[in-house]
Amino acid sequence: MQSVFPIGLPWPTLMYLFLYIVTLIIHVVFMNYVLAGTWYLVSMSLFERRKPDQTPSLVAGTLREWLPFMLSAAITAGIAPLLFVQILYKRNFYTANLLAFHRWMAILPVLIAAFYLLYIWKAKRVQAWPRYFTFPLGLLTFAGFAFIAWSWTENHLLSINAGAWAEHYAAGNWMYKSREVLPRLAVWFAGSFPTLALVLGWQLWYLQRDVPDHETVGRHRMSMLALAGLVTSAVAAALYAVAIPPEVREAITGYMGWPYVFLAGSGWGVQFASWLQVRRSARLEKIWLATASVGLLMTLTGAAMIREIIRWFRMDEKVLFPLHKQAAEVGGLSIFLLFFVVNAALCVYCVLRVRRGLRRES
Amino acid sequence: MDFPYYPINDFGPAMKGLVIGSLGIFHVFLAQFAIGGGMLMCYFQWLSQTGRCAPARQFVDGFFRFLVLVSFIMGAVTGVGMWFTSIQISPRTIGMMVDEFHWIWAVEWTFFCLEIVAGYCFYRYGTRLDDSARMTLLVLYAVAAWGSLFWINGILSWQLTPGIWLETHTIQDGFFNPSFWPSLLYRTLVSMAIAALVACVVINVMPGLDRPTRSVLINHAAHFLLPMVFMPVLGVWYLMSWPEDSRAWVTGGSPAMSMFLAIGVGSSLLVGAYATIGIWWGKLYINGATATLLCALAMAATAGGEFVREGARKPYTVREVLYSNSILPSEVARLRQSGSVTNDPFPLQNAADYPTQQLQLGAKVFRFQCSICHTMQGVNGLVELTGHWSDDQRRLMIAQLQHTKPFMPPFSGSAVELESLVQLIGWETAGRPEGATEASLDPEILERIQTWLDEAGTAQGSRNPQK
Repeated sequence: MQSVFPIGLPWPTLMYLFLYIVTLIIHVVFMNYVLAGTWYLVSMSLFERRKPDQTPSLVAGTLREWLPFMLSAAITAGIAPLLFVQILYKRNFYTANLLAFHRWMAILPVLIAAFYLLYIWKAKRVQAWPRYFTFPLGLLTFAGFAFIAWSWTENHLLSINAGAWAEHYAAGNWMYKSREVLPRLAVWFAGSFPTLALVLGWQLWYLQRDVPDHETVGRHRMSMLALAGLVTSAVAAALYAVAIPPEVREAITGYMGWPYVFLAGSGWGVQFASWLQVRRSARLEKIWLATASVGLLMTLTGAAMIREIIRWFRMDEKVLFPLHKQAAEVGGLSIFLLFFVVNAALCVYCVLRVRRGLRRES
Repeated sequence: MDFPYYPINDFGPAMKGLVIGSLGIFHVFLAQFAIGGGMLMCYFQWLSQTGRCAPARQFVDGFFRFLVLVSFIMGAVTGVGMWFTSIQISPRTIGMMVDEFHWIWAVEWTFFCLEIVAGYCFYRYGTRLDDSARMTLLVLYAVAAWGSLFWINGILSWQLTPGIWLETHTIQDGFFNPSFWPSLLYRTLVSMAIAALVACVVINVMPGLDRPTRSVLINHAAHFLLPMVFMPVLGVWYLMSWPEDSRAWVTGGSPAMSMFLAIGVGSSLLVGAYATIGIWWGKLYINGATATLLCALAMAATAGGEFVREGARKPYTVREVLYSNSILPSEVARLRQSGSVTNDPFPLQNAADYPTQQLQLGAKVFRFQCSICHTMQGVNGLVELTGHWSDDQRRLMIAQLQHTKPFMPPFSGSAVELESLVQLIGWETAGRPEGATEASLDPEILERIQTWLDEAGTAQGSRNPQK
């Protein structure tokens, strides 16, 4: 491919790629919230000073309350990209799943356990426990999500390295060792904090929107979380760039990927500037949250596209195109679009109905 | 030849079908509980807001928390787990299903999203909302949950009865296949019954309810068990929509499948009889232990039914399209010529365990063609099934497999590969004796095998060879 990715690809491939990227970004937002949110709560359970009445801070309380739903949303939102990745990269995805069998299947019980631990963590009785109980509980929950993140990373890297498959299988390895694993994992982990800060920032803004002349609770902490995450993810991205093969790096910074590097970088800059503004102002201002949202969307889109460029560069695209064309020939797209619109509208209706009901109650 | 080889994992003495079956039964039970649970909540909300049952509202709030904790977590994760497990068992099957029905799956995903949003709205705010808002959320939740059944049912029933899709290849023909409606209606009744039985357990463990209140709630929940009286009719309709040979396996042709059908039918009958005569008619009180026992019976019925549904597809995973060992019928002839594992890029994981090249080849053939349904020594083990046969018997039986055992696909390899498999089974049966030497391939034996393979042909066998 000698043009900007994905220009020049056949339309079936473009369509599935578009759907994959869009749904992946939605999934990533929820996933980041859970990963960074759990880590934040673990840290707070160790360092934060408790109030005499044991009630959690607004930030910690909101997080605890919303984490189980966010995990549910992450799992549900993850179904769509899981579907489209099977169409786009079937053979690679399935092979990596099979090669990483033990680890891959282990994520299911781990996910169930971590899910229940989130509910336990949320219980008021548990929140009043001493630190030496809540900290290990939190750490165990975070370890579950970290294990899943690590497994996904290895699985992804294994899926794009067909040359390693036969040897990996013959050796019966449980782990895929690659110099890309840790920096890639670090990019994702560090990058999850700006997402958490933004979504939680919006939640805190909403909860305190009617409080006049008041310094918004959580403003300073959200901006610090976001700025720290942005700086760390930039460092991790630089390390990852060093870890990938030079020809892949050239493709990203060259003809295939420069617009996405620019997009992700610009988004990073917009987010950084927005969070600096949040830090300077007394409140969580809507305008800076909005600009940070735009920046995050730019960064996530750019990063998702770069992720695909790295993958495409290592795959034989000629094998994939006929499979995508064949898949696109089956019917059902119009039914999907119809129900997508109807059910999205019903989801919005549910939220509005609850808001109306709560207003009536108050 | 462009055959999609995958690195096949060995599950030791556990048959792969058992692995996916165990998770599948668990997931189906949870999913059907969630579907029926949504409807049951709507019914109890209606009872509450129309003044027909005062404690119904308290029950709805208590039961919904249980529903969320069980179905939103276990149901959702095991659902994803089904996908992962399917990939482990037969990537080609799940790949074909995704190719044909990805838009249907995408539609189902939109229903999942609605289910989660409506469910969590109720879970978090339901106690603070008025009756109208509560009912709206519950109805949307129930519709979304049942909708997910509607869509997935089309895909699963297509595997067994693709019907005229085999000619037209249109999505509507595949989706609304011959067993779609009976399967959908049957599963809907099962969902209602499971939800009612779980409700009986929950009512018994809910704090703050006295005995008369529990009794009233249980009797209302039992209304959801009554539609079970239609199950025999629907069951027969469902069975009649199956292909003749599949029906024959479960009605006596295969003792194991007939036994599982009997477990399914028997358990359903026991639950149905107790519900109708005992709970509904006799207004019996049902305590927690009995309710749990009835749930266990419902689980047994689910297990029996799912096993039968999976087994009835044999020798296919998608009827007349893909054999259970992930080989297309159109590929058999080519693989007989080229050899089925000649181009397999994945070496054996434990090649050193096999002292000769012939045994190694046999192990690769076993891995590729047999290991999806058989183990070497374990559940459905080849040593147990064929160990007492002579070499010649094995050669003949395997060469003409689709005729000697019509629920088996045809052997899809060369004569050399077949002989290697026969030698491997013999070596394993003998307890892996040391000192095995490279066997010279007797041309006469190979010729005989080839003759048997040619006689058998590459097409699927039939119970009635005249057909």
